[in-house]
Amino acid sequence: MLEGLFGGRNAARVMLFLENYGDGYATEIARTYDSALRPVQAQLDRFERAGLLVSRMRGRTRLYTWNPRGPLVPKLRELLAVALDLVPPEERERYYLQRRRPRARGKPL
Amino acid sequence: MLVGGAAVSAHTANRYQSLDVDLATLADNGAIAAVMLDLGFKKTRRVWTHPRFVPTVDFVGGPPAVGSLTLVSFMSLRTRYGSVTVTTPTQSLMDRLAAFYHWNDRQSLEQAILIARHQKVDYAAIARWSEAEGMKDKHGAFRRTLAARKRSPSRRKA
Repeated sequence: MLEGLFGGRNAARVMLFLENYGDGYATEIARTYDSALRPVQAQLDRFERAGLLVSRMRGRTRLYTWNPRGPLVPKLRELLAVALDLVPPEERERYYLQRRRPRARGKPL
Repeated sequence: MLVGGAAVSAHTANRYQSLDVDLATLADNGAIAAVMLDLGFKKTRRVWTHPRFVPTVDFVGGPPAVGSLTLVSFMSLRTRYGSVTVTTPTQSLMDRLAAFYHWNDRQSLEQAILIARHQKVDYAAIARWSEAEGMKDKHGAFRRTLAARKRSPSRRKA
Protein backbone atom coordinates (compact mmCIF):
# COMPACT_ATOMS: atom_id res chain seq x y z
CA MET A 1 0.00 0.00 0.00
CA LEU A 2 2.66 2.52 1.02
CA GLU A 3 4.95 1.39 -1.78
CA GLY A 4 2.37 2.61 -4.26
CA LEU A 5 2.09 5.90 -2.42
CA PHE A 6 5.83 6.57 -2.08
CA GLY A 7 6.89 5.03 -5.37
CA GLY A 8 8.93 2.12 -4.10
CA ARG A 9 9.66 -0.30 -1.29
CA ASN A 10 12.78 1.46 0.01
CA ALA A 11 10.97 4.77 0.26
CA ALA A 12 8.10 3.18 2.19
CA ARG A 13 10.50 1.37 4.48
CA VAL A 14 12.53 4.48 5.24
CA MET A 15 9.33 6.34 6.13
CA LEU A 16 8.04 3.55 8.36
CA PHE A 17 11.41 3.12 10.08
CA LEU A 18 11.63 6.79 10.95
CA GLU A 19 8.05 7.00 12.14
CA ASN A 20 8.58 3.93 14.29
CA TYR A 21 11.94 4.82 15.80
CA GLY A 22 11.99 8.60 15.52
CA ASP A 23 15.42 8.79 13.96
CA GLY A 24 17.91 6.59 12.15
CA TYR A 25 20.97 6.39 9.94
CA ALA A 26 21.43 4.76 6.58
CA THR A 27 23.38 1.68 7.65
CA GLU A 28 20.99 0.98 10.48
CA ILE A 29 17.96 1.22 8.21
CA ALA A 30 19.55 -0.92 5.48
CA ARG A 31 20.59 -3.52 8.03
CA THR A 32 17.11 -3.67 9.56
CA TYR A 33 15.52 -4.55 6.23
CA ASP A 34 18.50 -6.47 4.87
CA SER A 35 18.64 -3.99 1.99
CA ALA A 36 21.47 -2.53 -0.02
CA LEU A 37 22.90 0.64 1.48
CA ARG A 38 23.01 2.95 -1.56
CA PRO A 39 19.27 2.92 -2.32
CA VAL A 40 18.51 3.69 1.34
CA GLN A 41 21.01 6.57 1.32
CA ALA A 42 19.44 7.87 -1.90
CA GLN A 43 15.97 7.82 -0.33
CA LEU A 44 17.09 9.61 2.79
CA ASP A 45 18.75 12.25 0.64
CA ARG A 46 15.59 12.69 -1.46
CA PHE A 47 13.37 13.08 1.57
CA GLU A 48 15.76 15.59 3.07
CA ARG A 49 15.75 17.66 -0.12
CA ALA A 50 11.96 17.50 -0.10
CA GLY A 51 11.95 19.06 3.37
CA LEU A 52 10.51 16.04 5.17
CA LEU A 53 13.70 15.08 6.98
CA VAL A 54 16.66 16.85 8.50
CA SER A 55 20.04 15.38 9.32
CA ARG A 56 23.02 16.10 11.51
CA MET A 57 26.35 14.49 12.12
CA ARG A 58 26.82 12.48 15.27
CA GLY A 59 30.47 11.56 15.23
CA ARG A 60 30.98 10.17 11.76
CA THR A 61 27.36 9.11 11.32
CA ARG A 62 24.68 11.15 9.61
CA LEU A 63 21.53 10.83 11.69
CA TYR A 64 18.17 11.58 10.09
CA THR A 65 15.00 12.65 11.82
CA TRP A 66 11.77 14.42 11.00
CA ASN A 67 11.91 18.05 10.01
CA PRO A 68 10.10 19.84 12.85
CA ARG A 69 9.38 22.76 10.52
CA GLY A 70 8.08 20.75 7.59
CA PRO A 71 4.45 21.80 7.00
CA LEU A 72 3.47 18.39 5.64
CA VAL A 73 5.34 16.36 8.24
CA PRO A 74 2.63 16.18 10.95
CA LYS A 75 0.00 14.87 8.56
CA LEU A 76 2.46 12.50 6.91
CA ARG A 77 3.39 11.10 10.32
CA GLU A 78 -0.29 10.57 11.14
CA LEU A 79 -0.63 8.52 7.98
CA LEU A 80 2.49 6.51 8.78
CA ALA A 81 1.29 5.88 12.34
CA VAL A 82 -1.89 4.33 10.96
CA ALA A 83 0.17 2.27 8.53
CA LEU A 84 2.34 1.01 11.39
CA ASP A 85 -0.74 -0.12 13.28
CA LEU A 86 -1.67 -2.21 10.23
CA VAL A 87 1.70 -3.95 9.92
CA PRO A 88 1.25 -7.72 10.41
CA PRO A 89 2.58 -9.09 13.72
CA GLU A 90 5.42 -11.10 12.09
CA GLU A 91 6.65 -8.02 10.25
CA ARG A 92 6.31 -5.86 13.36
CA GLU A 93 8.40 -8.32 15.37
CA ARG A 94 11.03 -8.56 12.64
CA TYR A 95 11.54 -4.88 11.85
CA TYR A 96 9.92 -2.59 14.40
CA LEU A 97 10.71 -3.89 17.89
CA GLN A 98 14.42 -3.22 18.19
CA ARG A 99 15.37 -2.20 21.70
CA ARG A 100 15.91 1.54 22.07
CA ARG A 101 15.71 2.00 25.85
CA PRO A 102 19.02 2.15 27.71
CA ARG A 103 20.70 -0.88 29.19
CA ALA A 104 23.18 -0.40 32.04
CA ARG A 105 26.77 -1.45 31.40
CA GLY A 106 27.43 -4.86 32.91
CA LYS A 107 23.85 -6.02 32.55
CA PRO A 108 23.59 -8.85 30.00
CA LEU A 109 21.13 -8.32 27.16
CA MET B 1 9.69 -4.35 45.24
CA LEU B 2 9.71 -6.07 41.88
CA VAL B 3 9.90 -3.53 39.06
CA GLY B 4 10.89 -3.45 35.40
CA GLY B 5 10.45 -6.30 32.98
CA ALA B 6 9.82 -8.93 35.63
CA ALA B 7 6.88 -6.87 36.91
CA VAL B 8 5.52 -6.89 33.37
CA SER B 9 5.89 -10.68 33.34
CA ALA B 10 4.01 -10.91 36.63
CA HIS B 11 1.15 -8.73 35.37
CA THR B 12 0.81 -10.48 32.02
CA ALA B 13 1.01 -14.11 33.19
CA ASN B 14 4.34 -14.38 31.36
CA ARG B 15 3.01 -13.31 27.99
CA TYR B 16 6.12 -11.18 28.16
CA GLN B 17 9.12 -12.97 29.64
CA SER B 18 11.99 -11.11 31.20
CA LEU B 19 15.37 -12.62 31.95
CA ASP B 20 16.12 -10.02 34.62
CA VAL B 21 14.68 -9.57 38.06
CA ASP B 22 14.92 -5.87 38.96
CA LEU B 23 14.24 -5.08 42.61
CA ALA B 24 13.77 -1.60 44.00
CA THR B 25 15.03 -1.25 47.56
CA LEU B 26 16.15 1.38 50.02
CA ALA B 27 18.60 -1.06 51.65
CA ASP B 28 22.30 -0.28 51.33
CA ASN B 29 24.70 -2.37 49.27
CA GLY B 30 26.20 -4.03 52.32
CA ALA B 31 22.84 -5.30 53.53
CA ILE B 32 21.94 -6.48 50.03
CA ALA B 33 25.24 -8.30 49.61
CA ALA B 34 24.89 -10.07 52.95
CA VAL B 35 21.49 -11.47 51.99
CA MET B 36 22.40 -12.39 48.43
CA LEU B 37 25.64 -14.13 49.38
CA ASP B 38 23.78 -16.05 52.06
CA LEU B 39 21.33 -17.24 49.40
CA GLY B 40 24.18 -18.51 47.24
CA PHE B 41 24.28 -15.68 44.69
CA LYS B 42 27.50 -14.19 43.44
CA LYS B 43 28.10 -10.75 41.99
CA THR B 44 29.01 -10.76 38.31
CA ARG B 45 29.83 -7.21 37.23
CA ARG B 46 26.74 -5.32 38.35
CA VAL B 47 24.22 -8.16 38.60
CA TRP B 48 23.71 -11.13 40.90
CA THR B 49 23.70 -14.64 39.47
CA HIS B 50 22.97 -18.09 40.88
CA PRO B 51 23.73 -21.43 39.25
CA ARG B 52 20.15 -22.66 39.82
CA PHE B 53 18.35 -19.43 38.92
CA VAL B 54 18.26 -18.40 35.28
CA PRO B 55 17.39 -14.69 35.55
CA THR B 56 19.96 -12.19 36.74
CA VAL B 57 19.04 -10.06 39.76
CA ASP B 58 19.71 -6.34 39.89
CA PHE B 59 18.94 -3.85 42.63
CA VAL B 60 17.67 -0.42 41.64
CA GLY B 61 18.81 2.15 44.17
CA GLY B 62 16.55 4.78 45.73
CA PRO B 63 12.78 5.05 45.39
CA PRO B 64 11.93 4.11 41.80
CA ALA B 65 10.33 6.80 39.72
CA VAL B 66 8.88 7.35 36.30
CA GLY B 67 9.60 10.92 35.37
CA SER B 68 8.02 13.16 37.95
CA LEU B 69 6.16 10.34 39.66
CA THR B 70 7.72 8.31 42.48
CA LEU B 71 6.44 4.75 42.46
CA VAL B 72 4.86 4.28 45.87
CA SER B 73 1.95 2.00 45.04
CA PHE B 74 2.57 -1.68 45.24
CA MET B 75 0.71 -4.92 45.69
CA SER B 76 1.50 -8.34 47.04
CA LEU B 77 1.38 -11.38 44.78
CA ARG B 78 1.05 -14.74 46.45
CA THR B 79 3.10 -17.58 45.03
CA ARG B 80 3.72 -21.08 46.23
CA TYR B 81 7.12 -19.88 47.45
CA GLY B 82 5.76 -16.96 49.43
CA SER B 83 4.53 -13.50 48.59
CA VAL B 84 6.25 -11.00 46.32
CA THR B 85 5.85 -7.24 46.50
CA VAL B 86 5.44 -5.84 43.01
CA THR B 87 4.63 -2.44 41.57
CA THR B 88 0.98 -2.07 40.57
CA PRO B 89 -0.17 -2.75 37.00
CA THR B 90 -0.87 0.95 36.48
CA GLN B 91 2.60 2.03 37.59
CA SER B 92 4.26 -0.84 35.75
CA LEU B 93 2.47 0.35 32.62
CA MET B 94 3.68 3.91 33.25
CA ASP B 95 7.23 2.61 33.64
CA ARG B 96 7.00 0.97 30.21
CA LEU B 97 5.36 4.00 28.67
CA ALA B 98 8.18 6.18 29.99
CA ALA B 99 10.65 4.20 27.89
CA PHE B 100 8.43 4.67 24.87
CA TYR B 101 7.97 8.36 25.59
CA HIS B 102 11.62 9.20 26.14
CA TRP B 103 13.48 6.74 23.87
CA ASN B 104 10.83 5.72 21.34
CA ASP B 105 11.25 2.15 22.57
CA ARG B 106 8.56 0.16 20.78
CA GLN B 107 9.26 -2.98 22.81
CA SER B 108 8.18 -1.03 25.88
CA LEU B 109 5.04 0.23 24.13
CA GLU B 110 4.10 -3.38 23.32
CA GLN B 111 4.68 -4.36 26.94
CA ALA B 112 2.50 -1.47 28.13
CA ILE B 113 -0.23 -2.67 25.78
CA LEU B 114 0.10 -6.21 27.10
CA ILE B 115 -0.38 -4.98 30.67
CA ALA B 116 -3.43 -2.95 29.64
CA ARG B 117 -4.94 -6.01 27.98
CA HIS B 118 -4.35 -8.29 30.96
CA GLN B 119 -5.02 -6.06 33.95
CA LYS B 120 -7.35 -3.32 35.08
CA VAL B 121 -5.40 -0.07 34.97
CA ASP B 122 -6.22 3.53 35.88
CA TYR B 123 -6.40 5.23 32.51
CA ALA B 124 -7.23 8.60 34.04
CA ALA B 125 -4.06 8.51 36.19
CA ILE B 126 -2.00 7.45 33.17
CA ALA B 127 -3.42 10.32 31.13
CA ARG B 128 -2.71 12.87 33.90
CA TRP B 129 0.83 11.61 34.35
CA SER B 130 1.45 11.62 30.57
CA GLU B 131 0.31 15.22 30.34
CA ALA B 132 2.49 16.19 33.31
CA GLU B 133 5.44 14.61 31.47
CA GLY B 134 4.63 16.68 28.37
CA MET B 135 3.77 13.53 26.45
CA LYS B 136 0.14 14.07 25.52
CA ASP B 137 0.79 13.21 21.87
CA LYS B 138 2.60 9.98 22.65
CA HIS B 139 -0.08 9.08 25.15
CA GLY B 140 -2.53 9.47 22.28
CA ALA B 141 -0.36 7.12 20.22
CA PHE B 142 -0.49 4.55 23.03
CA ARG B 143 -4.30 4.76 23.30
CA ARG B 144 -4.70 4.53 19.54
CA THR B 145 -2.38 1.53 19.23
CA LEU B 146 -4.11 -0.18 22.16
CA ALA B 147 -7.47 0.29 20.47
CA ALA B 148 -6.09 -1.07 17.19
CA ARG B 149 -4.70 -4.16 18.98
CA LYS B 150 -8.03 -4.79 20.65
CA ARG B 151 -9.74 -4.69 17.26
CA SER B 152 -7.33 -7.23 15.76
CA PRO B 153 -6.01 -9.41 18.59
CA SER B 154 -2.55 -10.97 18.24
CA ARG B 155 -1.41 -14.15 19.93
CA ARG B 156 2.18 -13.07 19.56
CA LYS B 157 4.32 -12.30 22.60
CA ALA B 158 5.82 -8.83 22.76
